[in-house]
Amino acid sequence: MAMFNREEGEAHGVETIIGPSVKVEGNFVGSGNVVVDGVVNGSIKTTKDLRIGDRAKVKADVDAANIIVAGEVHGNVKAGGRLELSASAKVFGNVETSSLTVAQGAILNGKCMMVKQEPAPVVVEKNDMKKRTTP
Amino acid sequence: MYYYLFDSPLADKRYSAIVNRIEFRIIELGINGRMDRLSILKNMQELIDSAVKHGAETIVIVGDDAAIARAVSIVANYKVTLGIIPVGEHLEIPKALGIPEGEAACDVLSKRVIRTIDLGKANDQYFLFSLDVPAQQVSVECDGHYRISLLGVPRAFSIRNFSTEQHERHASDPEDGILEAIIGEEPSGWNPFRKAQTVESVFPLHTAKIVCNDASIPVTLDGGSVVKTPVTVEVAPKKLRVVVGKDRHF
Repeated sequence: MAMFNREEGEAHGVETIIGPSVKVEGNFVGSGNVVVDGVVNGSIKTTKDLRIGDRAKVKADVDAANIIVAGEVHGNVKAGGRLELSASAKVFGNVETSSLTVAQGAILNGKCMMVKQEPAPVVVEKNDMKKRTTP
Repeated sequence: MYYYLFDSPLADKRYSAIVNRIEFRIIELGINGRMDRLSILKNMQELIDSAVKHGAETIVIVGDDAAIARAVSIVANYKVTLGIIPVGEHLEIPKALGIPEGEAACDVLSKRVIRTIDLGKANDQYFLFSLDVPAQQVSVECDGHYRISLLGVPRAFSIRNFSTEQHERHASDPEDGILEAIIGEEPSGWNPFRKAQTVESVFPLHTAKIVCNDASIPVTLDGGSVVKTPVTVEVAPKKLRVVVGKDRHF
């Protein structure tokens, strides 16, 4: 959630910015943080965090690790971690998340499914294994 | 084996002292090799082709940004190393690569710190910094998955491989294997050191196809050579071996 802990408008760690003067059509697939302030038709998928700004108009299914919605989304929203709907958010579609925050004034028209967040796989380094097995 | 290519403006009398000092320092450091001077009769492409054919392993360009940008596009086609000795008025490329001006660059050359960096490829031409389209209604197909188009007022569009401003919020790294499509306000003239606050949108990508409504719009590479639209752009990862200095911006 590094991207979301900073002040509004600050874009450190952001790799894709869809600005207000831009329209994206098609299937956007990213591997970094994404900020949407423009228009998107299609789908958005990223392995990191997604922020949909209050000026954004998204007609797409959305899938990201953590999502903040402040704009308008027509489509299903899936967040592996946290989903936050700001007061200006308008979501017309189903949402699926493990943690949901809805601010007063937000609109959510759709089904809501709470899923258990899968724990990150524990990686045991080879050296650790050796240390453990050595008497 | 080194091959030195002096840009044609260096034949001017005002550069004779610096050229002499460079030639002396090259010999002093023991990195001497064949030397040629560009002129109306001697074309850079032919000279580099010939030098590589005769076994040159390091092509050293002595000149300014324009000469270096032309050489990048040629040298990228061969498995040779590019060296730079900056002389002239516009020297932003060597600055970004950490290469000092004049004979001090000979010392950097002799230390041979080599980095293999990415280039951008637009149609058949390579670029080091960026491809720029002036404020126009452009449409860009990215990575074959999605299309970007502009809403309302036309914005300047660039595809960057290397942005030299070290503290820029959306800096492009020439060693990350990706290009960045940048949409923002029109910068005043080509300048790889332009300020970042004009940036509105950023898209990391590997390939792109740029289509302009007006086909006569000039699409420039590194502020110099012009390509016609539609332009197919792709990243050429680890394409250029170049000698760099310790003050490089990546």
